Amino acid sequence: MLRRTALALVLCATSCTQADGPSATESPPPEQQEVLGRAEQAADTLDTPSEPNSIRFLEQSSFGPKTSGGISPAPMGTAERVMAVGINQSLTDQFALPASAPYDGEIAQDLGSQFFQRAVLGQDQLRQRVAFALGQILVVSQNGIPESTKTAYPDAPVALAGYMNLLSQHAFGNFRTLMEEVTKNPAMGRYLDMVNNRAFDSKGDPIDPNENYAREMLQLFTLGTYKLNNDGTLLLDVEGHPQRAYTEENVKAFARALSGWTWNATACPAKGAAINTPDYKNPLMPCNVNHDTSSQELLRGVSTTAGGTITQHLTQALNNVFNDPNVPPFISRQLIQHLVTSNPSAAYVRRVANVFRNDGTGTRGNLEAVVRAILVDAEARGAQPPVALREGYGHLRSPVLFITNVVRWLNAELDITTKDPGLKLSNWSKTMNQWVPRSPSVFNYYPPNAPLPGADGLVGPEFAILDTATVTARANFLHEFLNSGSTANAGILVDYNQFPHVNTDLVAWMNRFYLHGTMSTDLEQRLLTAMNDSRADSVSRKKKLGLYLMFLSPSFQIQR
Amino acid sequence: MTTSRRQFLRHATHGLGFLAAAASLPRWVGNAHAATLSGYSGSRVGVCVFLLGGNDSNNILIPRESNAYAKYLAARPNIGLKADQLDLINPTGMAAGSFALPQSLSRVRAHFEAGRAAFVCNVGPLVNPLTKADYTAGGTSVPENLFSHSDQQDAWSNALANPGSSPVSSDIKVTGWGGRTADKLHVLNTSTPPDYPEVTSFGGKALFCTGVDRKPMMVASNGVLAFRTLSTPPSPLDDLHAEALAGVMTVDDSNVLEAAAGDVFGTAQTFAKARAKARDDAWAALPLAVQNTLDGYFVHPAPPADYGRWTLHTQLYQVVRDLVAGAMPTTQGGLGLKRQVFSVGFGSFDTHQNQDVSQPQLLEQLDFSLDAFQKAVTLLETQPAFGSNAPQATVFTMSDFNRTFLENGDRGTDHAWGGHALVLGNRVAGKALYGTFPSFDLSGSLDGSTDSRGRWIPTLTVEQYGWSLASWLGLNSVAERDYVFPNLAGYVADAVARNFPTQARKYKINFMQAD
Repeated sequence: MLRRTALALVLCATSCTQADGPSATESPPPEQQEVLGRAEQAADTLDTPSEPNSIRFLEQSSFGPKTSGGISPAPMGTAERVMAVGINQSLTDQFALPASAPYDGEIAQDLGSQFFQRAVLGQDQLRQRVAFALGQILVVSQNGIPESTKTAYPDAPVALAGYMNLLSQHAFGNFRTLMEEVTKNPAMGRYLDMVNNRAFDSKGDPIDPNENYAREMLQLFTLGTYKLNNDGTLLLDVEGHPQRAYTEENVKAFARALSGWTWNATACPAKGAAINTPDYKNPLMPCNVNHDTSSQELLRGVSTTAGGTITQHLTQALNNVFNDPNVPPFISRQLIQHLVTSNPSAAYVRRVANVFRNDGTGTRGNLEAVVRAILVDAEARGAQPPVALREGYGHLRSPVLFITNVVRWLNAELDITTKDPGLKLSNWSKTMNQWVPRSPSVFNYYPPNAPLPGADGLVGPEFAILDTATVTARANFLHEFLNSGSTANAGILVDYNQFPHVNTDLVAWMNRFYLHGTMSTDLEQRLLTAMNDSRADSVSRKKKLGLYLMFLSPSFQIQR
Repeated sequence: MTTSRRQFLRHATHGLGFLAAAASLPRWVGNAHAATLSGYSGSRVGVCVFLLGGNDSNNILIPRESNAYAKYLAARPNIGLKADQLDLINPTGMAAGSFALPQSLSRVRAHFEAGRAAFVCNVGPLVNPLTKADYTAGGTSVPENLFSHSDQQDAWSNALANPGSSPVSSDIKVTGWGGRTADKLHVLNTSTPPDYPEVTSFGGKALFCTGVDRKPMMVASNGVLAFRTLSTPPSPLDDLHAEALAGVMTVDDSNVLEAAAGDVFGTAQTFAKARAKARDDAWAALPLAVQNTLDGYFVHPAPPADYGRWTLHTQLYQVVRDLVAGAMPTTQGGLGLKRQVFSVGFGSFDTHQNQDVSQPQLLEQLDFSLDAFQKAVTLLETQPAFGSNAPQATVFTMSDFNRTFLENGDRGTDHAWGGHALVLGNRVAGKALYGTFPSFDLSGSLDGSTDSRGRWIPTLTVEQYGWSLASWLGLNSVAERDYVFPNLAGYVADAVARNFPTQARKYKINFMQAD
């Protein structure tokens, strides 16, 4: 108890502005005291995190925590392992892991299936989680890549596989490098019309290049709409008004500076002409003949070199964006939203943005350092969120995270040799409006600024796809998952004998692990009342009912 | 709630003037005493059909005056419809045969000629009425992110063309005019169970359906919204699941995100069951022959090759089922709603290429589906089972934008702006064109177009279009208007101040019959 209070005070010293809520003085439920007791020898620190803290860390940094099941030493990705080596070492371990096998667009298995298979079974949990987050900021959709009939492979899957591999490869790299790779990527090139974006028409006369990529790169991938302070709040002008982060003229200038790229080929086309055979396996090719070589005024009064080459101008344009003060808070805040909480405090955003600006060695845009800063921050760590922030803390688990957390908590086995369980999981996610990797538009499955219903001023990005139809789909996924055999569930097998047989024990188990000890007595009583009801007439029925209610409860739906 | 209901009763109009004017109304209308906000005490329904991708309405309403038609063919050598692909229409107040519709819209044409359909010309998102000089000058009077699909879909749904610079509250920016209309219509609905959502959506744009207070029923396009059970009918164990789940949803740990998630679950759980039961019971209250006739309307007698991929007729069939459930009195097993809004959508209108092949197929689907719905509503209007709550329905189209008048090099068209919308229903003041049809002159000053490719600057705004429909559904006060369409008063004031044509200075477009 003392330890908990002390922790809360430490957190409050850095981030609390309000009086403690009632939960600060609540005793942990009895079943949790053993857990806490184990950690009491040491304070709940980054080096010696408590079990709840470790579980929270895995909720934020993976597709779902697991426990070791008695295996020693505890495997990576388990709560026991995090407790044993600490938060920092767990991060270091994850950064060092190689990426899972690359996505393959030329096999029959759907990319959504490949994604879920890696998310559930892959070791490189953090890399995949960050890549998934980046892919929801720098969006390409499989539904936006048409089949050309000119390639020897299926265009859209190959294009997206390449793009997902790119994100995975650069998830812990430098954001500037990522920007360049994305800009030259053929999937993005097709999706947002970067490819064959010529500065001249077929007669050789100058034309205004397509602004699609230039606009979305600025608005969605790097700057946002309005100028930001380093803490992510709006940078207002002297009259108190928001200021546009870029002008329409900037958009035109970037479109010209980025003009002239086309599909990889043996030679560039004639002036004003296009290459019409896609190559989704290689980066776009620069063709000076279709580039506007004139000087363009970019952001903050910086101009490109008059008469410069196409590659020189691309470098100048991307450097100019990368060095804009909006980039660190804009990207940091969204990564925090995807990993930890929808409404981070300004101070949290600032701390992470500062690391984005300078990782300590003078490097800007070091995503590994940014991810570490997000996950070791006091606002992310501890057995529970900081008391003063608890009322608005957390984020709705997206369909993907909801599904993968359930599957990983239930320790499900996936028969990937004879069946396609990943596709089953992907199709469930589709019913909840997150069909990987097929965002309905460049604005992602849900936008980062979607309002939280009923709470003026807060955002709840994932709530943009929570409606009566998709909420019903969440319940129906779980119902089907729990009550179908492994055949109907496409080779997903859960051994329900691994869970306690006595109702009170199962509720304690679910509290300890699935809610890392935060279950309210109200929820506890409701679960017990339901499981004790005679209409649930077998141990199996009681267990599945308890799990159904647990995973659908708001306490679990919101990752805190 | 109580106060606003009393206020509503106090201020309710008693205008049932249309009763005297209409000669062939069914007998139940005479029983409609209870005044409502609009003067119709039965069930009224608005159905938004969103043509996703940007419908080329330059090819659904074609002038046959020889000068204009010559310009049309010149601008569209490949995709322009030839005389033998068109059927003339005779809009009221215009020379006979002055306009034509494509033959792919033959059923819509019949409704138009019979006075049940109208076109609203050159309507689109605007902040203020806009001259070419205003457009060229730029600034905050020009809508934001023109020609962008998502932004312009949002502008149509939200009825706000400048969400970035508008001073309206965030509540308004994140809601749609369908949902905000529902916020205000809610007092008219005394459903069982109470607070049944006014808006039901099978597709289209979620933003359009979302109100500040009132949240829509979002339903999969097959119409099914139901929690899985272990047995059919549900066993006692299934009942336990449902009861316990409802209880668990009320636990929010004093966290606003948890409360919000629980609320959405609660809405789904509360109304999914009521909806499913009402759909079955209300349908069963109709004579079997009527049920069969309604079903038959939505089955194409000679299915075209792409029929398997059609989605609009199935969505509109589900609208019919929900409309019957909503309008049917509670005594007959229905929900007893007075006002509903439905949203459906179908896509592939982004015809950058080969529009001459693809758009006629889309219009054929539109034509068949709208006709089926119109026939269904007409049949339902006279069904005794509804008692005094017989339904009236008006279908209206929205789309991202119109497309360039000048075709591109791929037998297609690109993103543009103002376009022509279709309204259909027995209360539409049909056989008419409203607003101003654009000039096809692509030379000289190009007053009506943003550039030489023919992107029409709208001469009516989305808000005028929306307010005309919301008024028909029952909104009438200035406060309601300014709540749902916060930009409209300023638009009209600007039109008056700068002496724009009469149509820009009116809040409403008179395409609905007066009540």
